[in-house]
Amino acid sequence: MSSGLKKIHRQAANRMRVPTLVAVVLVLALCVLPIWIDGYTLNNYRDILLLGLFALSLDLFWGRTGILSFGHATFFGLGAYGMAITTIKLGLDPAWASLAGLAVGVLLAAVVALFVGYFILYGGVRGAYFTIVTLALTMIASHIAIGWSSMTGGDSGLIGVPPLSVLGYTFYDPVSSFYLALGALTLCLFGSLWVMHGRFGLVLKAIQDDETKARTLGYKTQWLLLKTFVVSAAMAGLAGALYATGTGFVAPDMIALLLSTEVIIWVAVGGSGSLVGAVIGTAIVWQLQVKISSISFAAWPIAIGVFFILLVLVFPEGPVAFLARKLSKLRGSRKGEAQ
Amino acid sequence: MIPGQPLLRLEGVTRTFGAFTAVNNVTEEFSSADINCIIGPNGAGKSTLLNMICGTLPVTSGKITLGEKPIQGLSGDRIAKLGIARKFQMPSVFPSLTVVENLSVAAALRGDDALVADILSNIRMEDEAHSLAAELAHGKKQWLEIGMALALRPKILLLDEPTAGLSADETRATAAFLKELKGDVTVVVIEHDMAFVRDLAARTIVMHLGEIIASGAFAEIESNEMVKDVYLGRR
Amino acid sequence: MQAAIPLILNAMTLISILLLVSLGMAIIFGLMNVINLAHGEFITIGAFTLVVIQGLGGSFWIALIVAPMVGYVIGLVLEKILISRVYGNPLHAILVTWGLSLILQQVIQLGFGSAPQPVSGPFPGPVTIAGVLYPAYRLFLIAFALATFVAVVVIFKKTRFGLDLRASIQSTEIAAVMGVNPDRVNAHAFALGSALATLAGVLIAPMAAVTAYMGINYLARSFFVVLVGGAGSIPGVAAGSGIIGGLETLLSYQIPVTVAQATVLILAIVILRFRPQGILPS
Repeated sequence: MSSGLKKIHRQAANRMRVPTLVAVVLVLALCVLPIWIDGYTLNNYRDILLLGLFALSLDLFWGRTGILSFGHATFFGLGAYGMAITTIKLGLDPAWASLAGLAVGVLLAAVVALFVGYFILYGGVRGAYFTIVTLALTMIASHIAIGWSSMTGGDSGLIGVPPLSVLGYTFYDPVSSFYLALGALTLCLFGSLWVMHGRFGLVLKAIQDDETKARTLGYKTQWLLLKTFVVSAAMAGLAGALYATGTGFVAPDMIALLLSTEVIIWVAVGGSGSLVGAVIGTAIVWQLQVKISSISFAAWPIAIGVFFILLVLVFPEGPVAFLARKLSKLRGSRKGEAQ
Repeated sequence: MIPGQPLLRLEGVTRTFGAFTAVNNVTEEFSSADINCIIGPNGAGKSTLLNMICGTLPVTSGKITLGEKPIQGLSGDRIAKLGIARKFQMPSVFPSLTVVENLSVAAALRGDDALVADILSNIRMEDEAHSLAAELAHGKKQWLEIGMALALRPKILLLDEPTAGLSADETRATAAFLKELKGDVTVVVIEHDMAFVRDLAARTIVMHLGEIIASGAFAEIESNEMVKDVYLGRR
Repeated sequence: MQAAIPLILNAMTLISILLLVSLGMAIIFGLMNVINLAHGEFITIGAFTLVVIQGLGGSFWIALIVAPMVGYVIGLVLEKILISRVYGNPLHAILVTWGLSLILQQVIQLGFGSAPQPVSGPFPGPVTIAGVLYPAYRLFLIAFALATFVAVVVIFKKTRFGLDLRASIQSTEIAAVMGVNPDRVNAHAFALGSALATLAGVLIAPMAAVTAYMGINYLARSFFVVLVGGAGSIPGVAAGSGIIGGLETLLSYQIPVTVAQATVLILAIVILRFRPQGILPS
């Protein structure tokens, strides 16, 4: 191997190092969690893991293409409702009903993303317009979820989603359903890290820089963006479907604008683009969310509103990076004084 | 590709814009693996000619052939796929990617990692391999872009004033590495910088008012009285 | 033929509402390239102004005059402290205005509760028009909304402010050279757009459920009106309103309203694919 080539491979490896390391540590820590945590809290963690998977799916698209989807809850919700309707309303053989539900949920999300994504991306819609269209998408989806009550259970949703059962094994108790969630998250996390830190991720970054230039190099940029969007939606659908099997029910707030907004915060807090940060961000904000919501029903949306305004006006690089910068400045000036 | 065989042929190529004739009945051959320079005063039709070759502009009349295949009138990206790469005057690289990453992205569709390392040393940018493209000096950006064009393994490389904005040293270095390409790629350069053109010591074509008024080795062109008249505005 | 009249009038009702709301959005979007996700909240503010005024014993007509003024002032304030910081960055504008709308919704709900507020409009009861019974209020709404639309268009074409606005939409640089103060134009344009939405809110209130979340539905629809019709152009707003409003009304006769809205949205996305600049761009 020539020295130039060696340099290239080493650089690629370096790029992967930190986030992958963090991911490995995170997964290992989570693997041993059930030793100390009991049933009810373990279920909570399972939910956080699945929401983290949801956040990961958003970062997969937003972090690499720079295009913000304000409608990712549509895909999460489609996954959840797909699972619920298939397992509850279709009267299938329980042996493989939940597997079918999983397939339906993921496919539903992927197909909607394919349709909407095709028309907007190939129509040259990027940036803010894309965001608005996805916002409208979620609005419509949640209206349908509430309005089509014969199918979706309307405002109250549907209860009785069975736990996932695959080839005779049912992920019924807290420990097994926790590991199911962890397994799905780990697979998707490392898969995403691998793809996004490879050539594909590089090309997406190039497209974000200068899409026209990428086209002149021969890349079918719309197709690449669409692929990423659909995979991201399918992942969100997976998270939603598994989430429904865990909680046992679906409700319209799983396909609501508020959820679309929240997932943006989870990713933003962790730092968009790092993939593993999305999962960590979810865990951090979720705790905060629960605490603030317990104060009053209105407190959490107001907190989100304030956060967004601050995000833009005060710390556009994300609160964690902002704090880090402020802290290092503080340390720097102290050093100066000491000298 | 057999060096010395005509690769790109222009026959009676003409381009008019209403009553104005920008390129008038140009017939010329570019041999493969050779370096060619097109010079001429402003408004001579050089860029228009280049635009027609790479498909940005359609010909009003005439034929352009690449190898055996007529390409006049084909769309820009068809022609790009057939192997004609163009570098524009303003450098366009991917600013948030490093030099190596830029080259990798350009080379990726050809799937060739070794190519990237080669080009990196061709354009003499091994030291800056991991610098962000945004942080490069203007001259280096130009080289990177040429490198990216080369990564497409084109049959023909069209360069539109590649030394614009470069220092004297950078200009000399550009001439040096373009000369090294002789034998691998057919290069067609439009230039104004006479020192650069002299350094290249390549086959030179002089255009004036849309026509080719002289062509040959640079040494001949330099001493051609008619060319001197044109440049000094006596014609 | 007679059966078609209520359909046409219903369509006209929705179209004229969309005209007012979307005109405001088109001004803000076309001029400042600002996507204001809080635009729907101004509709809510208009409706709640009516609630408050009628609660204090005032009449609908007082609200009709006061509400747009309230909207105008709030618009000026918001532009000054928030919107002016996100010009030229649509993504930031989205985040900031979305955050603002979340806060406004909650504040209104905290103040008034979540149950729909009672309001009453003038002209209750039906009239006979072309042999058909139709709610008189809606006829009034159509007439008033259209008149307002025409008035705003006249302001655009005939006044100094309108000229400044149109020049600025074409090009801020050229307008500045012409002596136009961009900050002033932006501020008043934003305020004007907000006032229009507020006015629409008052008009809608007697027909709809007045809750803190009533604005968001109109937000999406007016965005698509602007996108499909053509951003920054008045004929575009008219075309977009006609298409979106007309189509939704037509479809909602056969299928549930939410599905009708979804269908119109999908059609809008398809239209955008083939005509991304809108139907009648400026």
